[in-house]
Amino acid sequence: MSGGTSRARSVPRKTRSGFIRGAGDESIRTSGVTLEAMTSRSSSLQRVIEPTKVVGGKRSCSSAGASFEFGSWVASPFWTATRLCAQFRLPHILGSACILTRPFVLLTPPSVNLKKKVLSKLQAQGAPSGPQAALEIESWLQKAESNTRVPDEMDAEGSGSGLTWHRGEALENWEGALKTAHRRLMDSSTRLRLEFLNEELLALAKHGGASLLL
Amino acid sequence: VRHYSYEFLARYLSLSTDLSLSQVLDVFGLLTHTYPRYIDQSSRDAVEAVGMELIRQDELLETKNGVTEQILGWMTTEVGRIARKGSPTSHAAMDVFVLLTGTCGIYTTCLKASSDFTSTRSWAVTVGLMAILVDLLTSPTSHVKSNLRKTAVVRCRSALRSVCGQLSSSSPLQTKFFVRTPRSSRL
Repeated sequence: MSGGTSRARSVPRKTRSGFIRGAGDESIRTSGVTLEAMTSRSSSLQRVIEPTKVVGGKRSCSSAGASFEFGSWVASPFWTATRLCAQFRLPHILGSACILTRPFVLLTPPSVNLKKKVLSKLQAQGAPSGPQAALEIESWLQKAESNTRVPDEMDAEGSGSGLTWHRGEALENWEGALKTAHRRLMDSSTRLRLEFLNEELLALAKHGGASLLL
Repeated sequence: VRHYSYEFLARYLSLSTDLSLSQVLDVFGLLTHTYPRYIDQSSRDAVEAVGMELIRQDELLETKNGVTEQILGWMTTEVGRIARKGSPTSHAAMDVFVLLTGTCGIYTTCLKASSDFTSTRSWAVTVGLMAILVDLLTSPTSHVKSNLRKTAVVRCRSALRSVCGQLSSSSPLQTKFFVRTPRSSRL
């Protein structure tokens, strides 16, 4: 890369006078790299350049040529305008106005190459991929849904068939009572849960089996 | 009416026996699922009230079923699991706080129910759990919000002070807790 000397100065800085430095004159002078060569090397640059209409040509406009030195984000209209401001000593407000355009450039979807790279990295780490991962995610979702689902038969007062707490039958059917209590504690609303805790379980703890007849 | 009263009394007497240990632990097992789950204070208070009532009823019995020991055993396991991680930030601070609240409740309930509690092994376990949990919450390396730290200290202090009358003045743990801690972090 013939413009390698400008790598160290590739980070632009905003000065007190409101101009941007960093894309120095050397980079302008030494920017002999063509657009095709740059875009073929950097997929992220492709990602940014493709939706962005670059002002000027490949070599005819020195500011646009210099902006390619910065990598992906300098090809945006923001940096192009900033370079123009810096070169012609225009007020930086023009460059600042281009900030509004920058998010649209950065929000472009990731390239396919990037996805492939991440996927290969995950595969190298042993993460499940392909249909196996899809099956795992699906089973996990089903499990999570079954754990957090509120039963359909539960009405507004929580007295559905699956959530009815029968005081007189709790000791006789202790397992069923425990399941009912578990569902009341986990699935019902805060008001119903508080009622159940304060009226049923607290009474059961206080009075034991006698509370079941009261 | 008389027939109904007789029947009611018969059933009442037959069922007036307290819950067995396994049944009490079943009820407590329901509560253990809730402690990292509820985010509202009222639900946590209600759960704590039920748990403390289970302990109090057992402490009032002449022949105890050992509910307190079982619950303390569960608390010890849970606190040990959290403390063994090495970093308190690996667990939600609110979970640690809920455990501390439960431990403070056990401390208060058991001391109010029986004055001999300080001579049992459960006493040392309870105070040890409180110390570990307070350490986890007030450690400078833990990323616990200051409000939660203050609340933990206040909760612990109120538990210690609420049963000061039941403690003998020469209780070594209480003396150590109040005297040897620096003034900035005194509970």
